[in-house]
Amino acid sequence: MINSKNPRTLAAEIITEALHDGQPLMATVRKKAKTMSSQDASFLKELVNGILRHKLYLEGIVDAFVEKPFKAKNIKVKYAIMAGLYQLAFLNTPHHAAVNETVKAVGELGFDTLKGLTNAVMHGYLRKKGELEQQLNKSYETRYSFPQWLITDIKAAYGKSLGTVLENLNRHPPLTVRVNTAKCPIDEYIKLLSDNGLTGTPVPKVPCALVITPPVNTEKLPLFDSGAVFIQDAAAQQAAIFLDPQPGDIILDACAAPGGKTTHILELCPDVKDLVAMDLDEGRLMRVRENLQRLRLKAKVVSADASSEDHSWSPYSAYDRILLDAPCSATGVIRRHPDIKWLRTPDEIKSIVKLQRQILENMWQMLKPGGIMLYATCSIEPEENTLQIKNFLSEHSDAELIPLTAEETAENPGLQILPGLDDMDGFFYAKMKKNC
Amino acid sequence: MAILELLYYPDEKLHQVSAPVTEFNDELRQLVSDMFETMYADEGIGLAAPQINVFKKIVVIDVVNEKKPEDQLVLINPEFTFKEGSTGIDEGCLSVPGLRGKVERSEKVTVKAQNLDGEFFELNADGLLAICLQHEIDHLNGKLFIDYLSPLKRNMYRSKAKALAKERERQKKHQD
Repeated sequence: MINSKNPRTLAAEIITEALHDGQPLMATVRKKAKTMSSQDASFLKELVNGILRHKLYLEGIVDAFVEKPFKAKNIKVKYAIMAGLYQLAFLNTPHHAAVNETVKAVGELGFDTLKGLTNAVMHGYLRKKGELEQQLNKSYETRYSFPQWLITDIKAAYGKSLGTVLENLNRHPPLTVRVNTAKCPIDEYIKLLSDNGLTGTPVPKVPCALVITPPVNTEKLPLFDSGAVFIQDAAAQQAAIFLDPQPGDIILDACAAPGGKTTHILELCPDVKDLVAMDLDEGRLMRVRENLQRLRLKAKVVSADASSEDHSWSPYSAYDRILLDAPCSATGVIRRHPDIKWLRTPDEIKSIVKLQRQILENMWQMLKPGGIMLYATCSIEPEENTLQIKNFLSEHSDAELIPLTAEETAENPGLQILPGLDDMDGFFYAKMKKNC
Repeated sequence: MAILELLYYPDEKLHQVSAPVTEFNDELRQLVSDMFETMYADEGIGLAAPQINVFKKIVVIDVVNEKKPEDQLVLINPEFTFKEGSTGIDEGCLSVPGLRGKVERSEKVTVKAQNLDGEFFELNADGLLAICLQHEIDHLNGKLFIDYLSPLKRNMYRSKAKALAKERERQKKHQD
């Protein structure tokens, strides 16, 4: 028997585990969703992401009706109530269904005594909806549900765009694929999609990218098994394009897992002399191997620490091109991982910046004179991005910025893609040449 | 230790009645241990031997699902000695993936069974455990929770079962 719990019950349990017990969110969702119908599984994902995206807004509603704060023991109940409120406030679920199912979920969690409270909060919200909305929309913190420190950071960096950035980080991400145009020209793939009832929309400036609507599972994507398509955000697809691999190059893809950019480099330039895909995490390197296999590509896959000065793992003493997709705060991809909002801390960002600096320094030593390095993050924090590179350029006389856009200077290096621009993830790229 | 292959609805073998266990040996212990592993791998809280193509009266249960030895129940040759009241929740089954359905069950039950050493014991249960016991002991009698649902629901599930079988086939090929 499977204890086929109400998806609201599961959502409350999963969020409690992720925010309070340090369990990895998406892995837990996938594990629980395995035995569910596909309908229930996508509903569970919707609830989990929705509660995390609108956490402070939904908590604001609960707080308006509950005087006694929830404790560690019954915090699950609060998340279950928030699941119900999310349905009422954001999903247009019929009121009676949302209320009944949420009350049921609180029972399943083992808190029959809090069923009355659940009922009262949900009916209270329905009664005072307009008033609460007005009140909660007054501050950025509750309106967009972001921690204050992150709002401050984004405001300092992007000023007037603050509202747009926050709003875009709360949107559902699109399904974007990378088409290997050598295997299937893009027009042909658009036609294949439309034969299957799907629409493929090109992305400006990223010729191999298509946004697919409606989003579907990979098995429904034409030619997926043959390796002609890869699921990858359009912003990430620019890495290999900017790196611009040339025939005969020896290339290092540092921090390569899960291999999206690795495989793209090989598709763009099958005549590179060799490509080394390196990552610290042996488990995640399995994904690199799987992806190389599905796309029928070859690379040397090695497990190593990019921040260590011991280079004995490397089959080459120096590289023509290095793609450094650095570990980062992932603040540019919050729309895909809304838990980041609640798990990151300002201190953590400081230590990430330090680690990036160490890795940059270390990888720079592995670049041949005349070689090219592309630095990438999926962050929108200037300290990890433009300030990091500005600092690096000022400290390395042999480093020269190669602008990717007309606006770039050594004082303001790199291309910052803001989340939501052309429906892309937030990303940062800076390209540098090592002078002799 | 091994994860065993499950039988899936509409496999007719799932409607077969299982035979009592007569020998309590190491082979039985190994089977029970593999059954737990198979159950946990798919987030199950109960598993009956016929689900893994072994037609013997063996049931394993862990309704807490935290893999703690103190929560693990092994029931050999179980039968009900007492049933009372009425309850029901949305049930699901490892052999009927992707389907949930409410089944009417007794609220309180008493079960007589043997442990791995062949010793008899009695177990009183209510709540989820009572429901799980009824679901699993049904398996030993060749009965699935889907058999209690309306013919319409069963038929709707049949086409889905086909699609799921195909998907399992595809994944298996992928692993090889």
